[in-house]
Amino acid sequence: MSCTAVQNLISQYIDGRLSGAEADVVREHVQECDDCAQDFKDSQFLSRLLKENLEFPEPPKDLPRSVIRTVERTKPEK
Amino acid sequence: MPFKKRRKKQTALPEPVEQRPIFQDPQNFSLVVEKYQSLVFRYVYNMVHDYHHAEDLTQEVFSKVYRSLTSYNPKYPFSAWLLRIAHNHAVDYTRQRRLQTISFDAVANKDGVAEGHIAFQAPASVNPDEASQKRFIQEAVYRLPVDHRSVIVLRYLDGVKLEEIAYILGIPMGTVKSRINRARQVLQQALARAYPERRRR
Repeated sequence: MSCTAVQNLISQYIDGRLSGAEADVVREHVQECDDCAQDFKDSQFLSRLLKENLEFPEPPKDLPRSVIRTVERTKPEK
Repeated sequence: MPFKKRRKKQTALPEPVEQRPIFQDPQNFSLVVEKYQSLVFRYVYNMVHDYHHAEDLTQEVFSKVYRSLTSYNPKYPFSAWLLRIAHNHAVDYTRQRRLQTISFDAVANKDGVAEGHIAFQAPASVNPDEASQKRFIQEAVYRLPVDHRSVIVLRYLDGVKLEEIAYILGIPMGTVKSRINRARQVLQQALARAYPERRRR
């Protein structure tokens, strides 16, 4: 498999979305190819950054009350 | 496209009970709001990157949901239906507010990788400390075009499945995968520019 093809599969590999055979091909290629190994490390780093650092704040505590005040003024579509 | 029903979470409201007429009573609908407000708010927040706007938009999303309860199709998870409404509402908002960045495709180079619209500055510190990395990645994701930002945010939001992302965004699975790959490529390049030292280690 070419480096381009492997690099296109790396993010799916990291997400665990590849079949066993495809995952084996990526793993073997990365062990033998320095460029793809670097790409693999970079992708792992990015994936960790996204998992750990994307901000998912909680909504304000009175949000349900505000929503209900709004919906009380409306009626569901028939 | 139908997909398998999600495993029920530990909750008092099994899906798709939310469509029952009882929830058209505003007081009962508050149970639906309480259950899903966090999911909707966190998605919308990452689309508009402003806490107060996210609060307003979340209220509007639930108003829309309330008015459309009878049109919910239970072959899709209720959470995915909610996120679909939230996504469309957030996109409308960003268009109105002109927050959307230039179309990804309009600036994509011959390799299909966007250039120019992510003008990152490397943090003052050469070593990527945790705080600067956190700021960097949040800013980088926010600067992605809406269609790529949405797939990245959904991918990391409570582990939304790819099939659900396709339904929420109204695009084929193949497009979801290619958008995730391209968004990651853009983020990867921005990361390499912002932290060149990290790559050499």
